[in-house]
Amino acid sequence: MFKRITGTETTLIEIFLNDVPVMVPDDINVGAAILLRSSYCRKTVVSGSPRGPFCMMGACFDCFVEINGKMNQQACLQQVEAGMRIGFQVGPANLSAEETC
Amino acid sequence: MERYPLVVIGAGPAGMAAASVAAEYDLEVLLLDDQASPGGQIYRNVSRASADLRSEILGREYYEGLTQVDEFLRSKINYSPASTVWDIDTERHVCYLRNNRSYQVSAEHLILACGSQERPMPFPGWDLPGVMMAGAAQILLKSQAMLPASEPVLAGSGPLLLLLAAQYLNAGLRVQGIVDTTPKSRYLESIRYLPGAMTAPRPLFKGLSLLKQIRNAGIPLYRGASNLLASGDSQVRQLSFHCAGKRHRIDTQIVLPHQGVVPQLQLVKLAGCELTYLHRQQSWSATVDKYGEGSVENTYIAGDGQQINGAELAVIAGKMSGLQVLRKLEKIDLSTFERRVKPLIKAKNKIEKARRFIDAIFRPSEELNTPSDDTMICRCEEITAGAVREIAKLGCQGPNQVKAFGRCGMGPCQGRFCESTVAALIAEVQDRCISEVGYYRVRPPIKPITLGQLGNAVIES
Ligand SMILES: Cc1cc2nc3c(=O)[nH]c(=O)nc-3n(C[C@H](O)[C@H](O)[C@H](O)COP(=O)(O)OP(=O)(O)OC[C@H]3O[C@@H](n4cnc5c(N)ncnc54)[C@H](O)[C@@H]3O)c2cc1C
Ligand code: FES
Repeated sequence: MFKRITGTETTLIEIFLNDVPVMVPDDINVGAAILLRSSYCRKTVVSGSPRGPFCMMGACFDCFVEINGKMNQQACLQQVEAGMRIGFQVGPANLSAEETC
Repeated sequence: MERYPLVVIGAGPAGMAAASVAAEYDLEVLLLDDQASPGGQIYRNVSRASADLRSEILGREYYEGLTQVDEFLRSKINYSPASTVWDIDTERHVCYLRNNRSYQVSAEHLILACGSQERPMPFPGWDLPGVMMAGAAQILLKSQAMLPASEPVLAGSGPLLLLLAAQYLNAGLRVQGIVDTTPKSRYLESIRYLPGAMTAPRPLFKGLSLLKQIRNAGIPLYRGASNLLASGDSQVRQLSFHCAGKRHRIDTQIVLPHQGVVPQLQLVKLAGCELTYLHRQQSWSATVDKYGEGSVENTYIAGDGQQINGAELAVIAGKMSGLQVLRKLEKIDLSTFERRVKPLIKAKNKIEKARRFIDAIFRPSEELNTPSDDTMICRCEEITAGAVREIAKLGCQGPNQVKAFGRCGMGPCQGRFCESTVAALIAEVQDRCISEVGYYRVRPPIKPITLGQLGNAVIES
């Protein structure tokens, strides 16, 4: 949904998005890293509809994802780190296996 | 528990100004802010952004913020970045989270400078992926150097919408159109505030120059638009709306809505401070005296977190609160206080007067305040406006009761994105004034914290 401004100097690092290795700039947050590939990051608890980051400032909680095995992490508030494992969160339960980016 | 004569929360223009003025007189200040670097919303990431982004894309005003940030970083302040305050109480005990650990400090004086959040803008489809607040998209530009991957549509009203369109143009990205929901009547209503706006005309001229830039670029501006609908299956594909007597449809993958900002009042509520409903801004504000002191003694609220007045006034308000703290602690005498405060009061009056025009012209439309029954208004619990109207018909007195009846506002955002709509709907159904309807109570923690982090808490110094 988003892209980096052309010419922005960056170092790339490898992270795992739904178990798929992807290269992302090392100076962005998890929410931004997701938005480079996808417009959504979870399916809601109530109706199962897809949602993506909405406020980017920690207020809406629509960016809940699983980070390194911990559920309900606000993606827009955490920087990416090499080797980080990010999983889309589907409903209240654990990450479902069929979910890919 | 560590005790500070002054704790400031927020490193935006207001908080930086308050802390800087206190540090001038060697007061020991602890400043807590949840971002990695100082600047707040307006100057987010300014000390780290690339030179190109700073000067070519984001514009002069952003670049100028660097001066304030540099001055702040040079002063002797105990500045704690990446520190999220999750609770405070009426005795000014402050709990915050840093590096996975919770800390508690006690403040003799407390200045809350937590700024604003975007006003929710509910319309059918605003929950679809691809729809994101315009301010959020601007945060992505400022702090992540990111642009929409395809041409977005901007929708709503307010200065930030025009600013973002212009910043995108500077970055070489066109927006497909600006769907302007400002009702036509607002222009007439705001004319009488125009002379006042001329007393501090910078925002007005800035707005006009942004508009000119957008016009010259040939970007379609759909004025007086209503009945917005974002549609798509698992992702937005189209935005449709009424404008000039017909239905328009724009195919797009990115819709960026915005209709102004409102104060973030969670910590103000927890501190036990009273709120006042401000009809002209259609939002609650923190009740304060001339120097920003709230209804609880030694607790101050400054900047957009008190009421929306913009960055220039946030600096003034921050300084005034800082000076009042210094006076109370006898770090400055009365004559120094008066000498320093006088020009600030004068500037404040001017800016406040000018603000009336912006408030009047960008007052959100009735339709977006009390949306159609099928519009989801609580994004967390997925409750529609229709469901809230039904509960209100049963006689629920206020947002807290609606929450208990229908879960609206009970999700993780704690009502940040539905509070104003719920109150407006109750007021509409029961034909009451929104100021009587009230607001959600907040309960700590206002930011998520795990039991592990709590278990690790550092309370003793
Ligand atoms: C998304 C967004 C974008 C904006 N962009 C612009 C712009 O480009 N130009 C413009 O003129 N105005 C902009 N504004 C308006 C802005 O509110 C003011 O102009 C200005 O930033 C207000 O200054 P402030 O110091 O009152 O608050 P802010 O600048 O908002 O600073 C408040 C600070 O407190 C921090 N904070 C809040 N709660 C906590 C907590 N619980 N714990 C720790 N820290 C906390 C915030 O992260 C922030 O750093 C924007 C507002 C928003 C919401
Ligand atoms: S996008 Fe709103 S909390 Fe992260």
